[in-house]
Amino acid sequence: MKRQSSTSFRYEALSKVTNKVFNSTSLEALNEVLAQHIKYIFDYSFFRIAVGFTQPLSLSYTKTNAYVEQESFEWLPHEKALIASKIPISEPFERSNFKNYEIQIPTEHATLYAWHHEFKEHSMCITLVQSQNANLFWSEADLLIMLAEIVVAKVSKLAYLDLIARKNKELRMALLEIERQNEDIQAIVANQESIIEQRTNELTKKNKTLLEIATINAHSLREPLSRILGLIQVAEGLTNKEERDLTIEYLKISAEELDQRLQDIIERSTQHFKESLQ
Amino acid sequence: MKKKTPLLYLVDDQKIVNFVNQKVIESSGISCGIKTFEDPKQALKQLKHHVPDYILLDIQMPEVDGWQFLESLQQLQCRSKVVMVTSSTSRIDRQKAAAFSLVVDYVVKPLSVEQVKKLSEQHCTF
Repeated sequence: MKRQSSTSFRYEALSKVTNKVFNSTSLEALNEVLAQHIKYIFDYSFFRIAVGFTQPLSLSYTKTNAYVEQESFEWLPHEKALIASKIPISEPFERSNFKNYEIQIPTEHATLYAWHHEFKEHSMCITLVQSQNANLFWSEADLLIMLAEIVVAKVSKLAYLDLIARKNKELRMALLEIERQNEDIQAIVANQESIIEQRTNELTKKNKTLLEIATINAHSLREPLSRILGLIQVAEGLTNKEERDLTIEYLKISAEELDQRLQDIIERSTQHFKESLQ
Repeated sequence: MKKKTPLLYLVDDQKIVNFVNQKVIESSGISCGIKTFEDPKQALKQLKHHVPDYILLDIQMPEVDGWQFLESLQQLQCRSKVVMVTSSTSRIDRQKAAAFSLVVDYVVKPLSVEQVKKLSEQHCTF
């Protein structure tokens, strides 16, 4: 009867711890929950959960201290044996194997209990050290394993959340980098557009200048040509020898002038062409 | 009563052009007095004493160009009719000339006998 009520009390405590474990948002918070509440589930001098994740991890508790080991993690001797044999251990406690932990035992002798369990292909070792006067019922081993499973599942979830957070951060950084590069590209494109616009403006201006030169040239050529045409027209009706001679002289002058202007234009155009090629 | 013979000024810096224009006008059979000027300033000076009925005016001339000449005519309140005779085929020059009330016509060189006859029919009141 006493045993029955004790067991149900433990399950109730486990249920409470389970809730708190589920609600933990970090390994630190999880550790705190366990450090405070394990004592309500069972009596212990030392309790430890070790799991062989890619980055192995252990959570160890004495009456006074809590230890979270990741970088400094090492399998304890009895855990190595347990992983090899997978047979639960029940043996006298040897303090020399637990030098790193301040374990207080009220009696002279204590017992080391350890179980092996698989968590998603990872080895998990649950260790419990109890003093002689404490009672551990083997039927309650299930309870310990259940707690260990809940804790390890949470640790695993936190690790995944951490991984996701890290990946998210990396993605955000990558996105920022892409945005920055995008800005660079846009700046280059804008610069190119500005250069093209500038070149187009230069060409338009050049074309306009060339057109103006062509117009001036045409006018400059038309002037002596119109004189020649006029003189030819006049020459036909002239009977006076003096005037005819004068007309021929004027024709000569005007034709020479036309020729000179043409030569000037040809020379300037050639010069302009040469310069534009350089 | 016989009307007075009209007076024409030919203003062009090119002696040859003035010679051609004079001969063309003579060939057209129109009776008029003709004075030629290679220096527009001389024409403006002369104008104060003998106001011509018509002025045949070139545009591109050194020192005083056709436009400046027209402005001087306006300042002098001269009432001579002006025919631009130029080698410029530019639309802008044509529009610019039309803006002066004194300008009655615009002829692209060379001036021909037919054009002179036509101008005489259109603009002469004598």
